[in-house]
Amino acid sequence: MVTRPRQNLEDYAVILSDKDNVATALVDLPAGDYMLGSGSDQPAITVPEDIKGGFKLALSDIDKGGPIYKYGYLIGLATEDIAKGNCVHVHNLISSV
Amino acid sequence: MSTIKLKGYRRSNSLFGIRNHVVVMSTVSCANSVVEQIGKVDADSIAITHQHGCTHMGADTEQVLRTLSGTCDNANVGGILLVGLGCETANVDEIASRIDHSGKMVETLVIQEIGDLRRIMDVAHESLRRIKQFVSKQRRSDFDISSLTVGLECGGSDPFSGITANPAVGFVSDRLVELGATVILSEIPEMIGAEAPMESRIPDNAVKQKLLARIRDYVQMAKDAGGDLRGCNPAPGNIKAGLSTIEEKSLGCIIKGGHSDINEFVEYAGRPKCEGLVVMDTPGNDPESVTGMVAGGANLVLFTTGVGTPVGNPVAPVVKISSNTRMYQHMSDFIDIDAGKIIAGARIETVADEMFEFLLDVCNGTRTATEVNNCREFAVNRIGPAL
Repeated sequence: MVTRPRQNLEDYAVILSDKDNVATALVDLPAGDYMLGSGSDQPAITVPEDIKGGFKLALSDIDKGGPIYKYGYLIGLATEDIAKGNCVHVHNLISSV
Repeated sequence: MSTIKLKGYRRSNSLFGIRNHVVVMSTVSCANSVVEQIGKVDADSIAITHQHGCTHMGADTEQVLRTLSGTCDNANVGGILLVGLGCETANVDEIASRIDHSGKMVETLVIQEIGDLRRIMDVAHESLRRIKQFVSKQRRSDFDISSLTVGLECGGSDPFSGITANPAVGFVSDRLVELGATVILSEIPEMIGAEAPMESRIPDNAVKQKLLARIRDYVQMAKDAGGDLRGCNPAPGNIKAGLSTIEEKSLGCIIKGGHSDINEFVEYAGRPKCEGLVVMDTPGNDPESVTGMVAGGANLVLFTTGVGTPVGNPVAPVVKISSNTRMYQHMSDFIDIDAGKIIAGARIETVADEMFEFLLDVCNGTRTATEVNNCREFAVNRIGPAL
């Protein structure tokens, strides 16, 4: 079996602020293990399912009711526990307005 | 400070048009068919129709009058034929009195006074002949870019809008502000959830409080309408593209305004008194928002889109900027600038430079996609019901 060289998440997605707990996929992001930043040999983040370009994924585990940040600001609250690497969208994120 | 000289049509000492349009403006919806027929016969003029002009009340009447007269007052318009019915609130004399006639020709036509359609068409034809003769004698002269007013709009946003197209527009906006131009940021509902990054850029507390109160009004309006913003903003197309909440959409939207201070909060279709960056009270509805900014004097609009839209304006060129290359390729003849190449590695500043150069070209006569395609949406924002 040929193992795919481990890739950096930021080749596929952008993290717009240090405060953010989601990244936005810039292109279609295939399921798999990704490094966050450089240096580490271990998978920093496991993405269980393909994520379409434009969609968000959790950079850390987020508890139900927890704040979700993008651009460094609150974009809403988690409606269920969200595991790191999972897609974050209307099925698990609700406006706080 | 360096300046940039453009070529335009002088309307008054400080106002220049980048177009010299002849407009046939319906003052009331009852005159629309006649206006459309005049527009069909006279291909050089731009016929503008709408669903307003009568049976509205109070602030709504004022807003309709301001929008109709403001559109005619836009410096891109050199000649106007106002066509009214005769018994309406927004009558031709009232609208004509609100237009600064400097460097413009304004004529009026009242359907009930003339009577039958054949004579109406003859009178319109004579009026337009005089108006076109007048505008054809006008020559472009040099003006400083500081006289320019530019509106900012985003419509059919996607998650790339806030990462590619809007940040590039933000650079252009900051550059225009540095050069002394006026830039209008609009769409109050798309500031909901983005109050924090805006507040710190509003030096005048009264301006800040007015804007924050108006943002709260929109949240309340949505709740009073029997629900909340979910399901209507973000719109279904925004959600399908990956935008989840109004906060996310708003935070991406306001990036169009760059980093400049916000100097004024302007009513819908009102003319900004300050230069630099101002905010206008418009809804998120694109045609209504663009119409408001152009009625407020915008010579040109920078309009970003993720899922693609043809929306233009009757009197102001609208520069359409795509947030992603896939849509750009799919709808290429509706788009002027592709900011999607930022995803592939182009620098935001490079796309901003390209956009700024194109903006200068458009000021000097290059036609935008909306102009070439005759995309001329006109929609007046209404406050209350008709009686």
